[in-house]
Amino acid sequence: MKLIVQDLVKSFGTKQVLKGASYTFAKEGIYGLLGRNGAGKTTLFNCLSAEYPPDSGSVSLSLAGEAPRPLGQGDVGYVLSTPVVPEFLTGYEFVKFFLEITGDPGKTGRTPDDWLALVGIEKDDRHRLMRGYSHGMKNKVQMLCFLIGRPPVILLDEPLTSFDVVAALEMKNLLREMKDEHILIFSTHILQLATDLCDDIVVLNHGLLEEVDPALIHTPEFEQRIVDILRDEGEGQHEE
Amino acid sequence: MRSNAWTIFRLNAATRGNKLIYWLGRLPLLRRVFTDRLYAAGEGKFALFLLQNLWWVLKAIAGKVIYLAVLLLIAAFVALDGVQDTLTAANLGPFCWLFLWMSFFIGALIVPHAVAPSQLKYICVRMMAMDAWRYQMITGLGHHLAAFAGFTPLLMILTALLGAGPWAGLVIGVELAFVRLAAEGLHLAIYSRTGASVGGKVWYILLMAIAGTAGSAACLLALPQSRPQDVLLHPAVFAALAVLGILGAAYMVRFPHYYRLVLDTCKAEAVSPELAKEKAKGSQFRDVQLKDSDLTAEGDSRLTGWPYLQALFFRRHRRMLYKPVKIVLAILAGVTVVGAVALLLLRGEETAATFDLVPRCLPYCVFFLYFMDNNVGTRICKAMFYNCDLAMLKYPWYRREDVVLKNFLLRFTRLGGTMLALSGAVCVMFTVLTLCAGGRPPVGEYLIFLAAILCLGVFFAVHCLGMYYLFQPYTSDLQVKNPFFSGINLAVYIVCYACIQIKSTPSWFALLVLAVTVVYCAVILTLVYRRSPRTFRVK
Repeated sequence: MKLIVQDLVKSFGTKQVLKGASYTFAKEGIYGLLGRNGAGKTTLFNCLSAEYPPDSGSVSLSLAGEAPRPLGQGDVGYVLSTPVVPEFLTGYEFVKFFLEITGDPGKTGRTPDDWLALVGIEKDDRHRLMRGYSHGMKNKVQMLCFLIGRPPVILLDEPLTSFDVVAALEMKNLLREMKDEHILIFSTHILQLATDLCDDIVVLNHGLLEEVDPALIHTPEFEQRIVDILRDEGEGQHEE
Repeated sequence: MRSNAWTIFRLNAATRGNKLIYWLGRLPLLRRVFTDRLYAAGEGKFALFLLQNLWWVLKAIAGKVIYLAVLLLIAAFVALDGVQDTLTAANLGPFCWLFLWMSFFIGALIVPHAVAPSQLKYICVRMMAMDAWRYQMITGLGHHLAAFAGFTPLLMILTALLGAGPWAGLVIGVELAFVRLAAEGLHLAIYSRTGASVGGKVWYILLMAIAGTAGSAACLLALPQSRPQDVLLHPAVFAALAVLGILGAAYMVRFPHYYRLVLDTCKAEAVSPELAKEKAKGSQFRDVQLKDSDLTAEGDSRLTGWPYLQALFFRRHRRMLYKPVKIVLAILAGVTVVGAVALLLLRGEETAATFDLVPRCLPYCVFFLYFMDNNVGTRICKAMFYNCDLAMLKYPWYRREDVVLKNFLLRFTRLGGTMLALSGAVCVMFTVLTLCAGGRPPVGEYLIFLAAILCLGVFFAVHCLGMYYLFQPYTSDLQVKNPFFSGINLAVYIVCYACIQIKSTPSWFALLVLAVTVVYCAVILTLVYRRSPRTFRVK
């Protein structure tokens, strides 16, 4: 599977945030997207997920053995940094409903309880309204939609930032389990998290995407290299 | 002190200049000129600040002229023979009474400068750690001098026009300045004693407004012949106000708790437009927020997928949707029963003849059904957005064309059913009352009348839900931002209101209602089918 981003340009007023960003996410795995505050990570995600269209450029997907085609509905799952779930439903009701409308695409035969257990939502919580769920629990439910719906590309906008240590570890394990079947692009400010979790690192710098040599990721020079790339980003970044 | 004054001035200039650039940059023709780059142009911003201040001064003068003219008119109208006495010497006394209550009492006492929250105060004192006493002295002096300079020349012109000479206006202007200082001192003293400020509190403003209005009315009515010398131009009054003003000023200068006062009165949500917006944004959706008691309803286990979701939604919003419906049905039932009994007792030729003409009341039914259905429909659409679509529209699978249309249909069935029930109840009420009264309207005309009422139920269901799907007017910030949505709703209101102005209902009116309803529903449903998959988005 390949996700091919070509010459993406996106401006807000006079500020050009993406200036022809290009990169090919060449295989399944977890990609860390690094960039300074306001570098345009959320803008890139919004363009990839069709939340709003880019001014120019293209994004295409090539599934195993298939020719590249434009990204379509259902190809991208987007886990927002602030999770949104319909709060008038219980976690169980939402998962039951979601399984019914998607028809369990993976044919896993799992029940709503099985899915909820998979992401560590306790039995008592499953029949509570999601209105009362913590940030982490809502995020897990949001992740479940992508586990069940299995979109080839999953974008995660700083999903671990607000988790407690236990929830963060659970989520990391979940992402690791998913990575063989998806291209997971994971934006974060936290370098340690990126090195810990990601197979590849891509930096968004000056509105362009830039790969970091994967061989560097687990070396002592990695941090310095990233800081060197990002340090000269300068001023006037778009407010994310 | 001088450097603090300069800092405040520059900060104020930059803030106002930025605001002006921001707003001018949103105007279609000026968007290219007023770009983000202008924020960096310090001197240019200063020029804009001066320009804005000039506009502000002109606006303030115009406002004061209108204010004084209105007071003069009211004084002449209430105390004298009428508005023809507005510019006569006899009106100066009543004007003085009115001005005393409105400006000296209400205006000076509602929110004195020292206790009023402001963004500039928040930035200077709380964020930049400027000395609170210095800030209050500098800005207080500027505030009161500006008020004095703004009012006094106009008062001098006014008293000259009323034959008392400009000096009288000067005296009143100086007295007003004394009163403002006294009010500052009084509020600071209240804060010092109680630890709380009443300035700006709703109950306090209401109390002042009521007391001021009552006081001015009493004085104008009881003392219509009073002369200015008896009121504001009395030497004793001037002396008393001067003493109070000096005491107030002295108290202001010696007041030691300005920092505490700023902390207490100048909170972030009171001065930050963002936080204020945040606080306000839920308010228009407050009436559709779910309560814990709403959420106990269980879903229908026989349903699956989208019908399951919508059934759960409507079950958990039954308080919002069905409670007003139940109230209306209860009222209709009450009217039907009481009306039926009364008509049976009073049955006669006259009542029968009246009820022969029942189909003629259709125009009133149009407005009544608009009022009833639109209220329920708008409310449930807001609830759909706030409690369901705002979150669900973030998921791509919820925005798919077939899903949007499927959900529209499911919702339309529910909403249409509810509104048909209301229309049906109205039909039953008219039929029962007509039978009890012995009315014999032409059968064909009566059946069309009933059909029109039923159609109106469908019409309003289509209208409310169709507008929501076609324009989805709510933003993720929970604001209504769609001029077409507001415009079409206004147009429907005007048409429905115009119906009750019809004095003599033509016999073809019911047919017209039927035709308009059918055409409107067809147009909206077609548009929903074609456009809503693109328009039904969170802005």
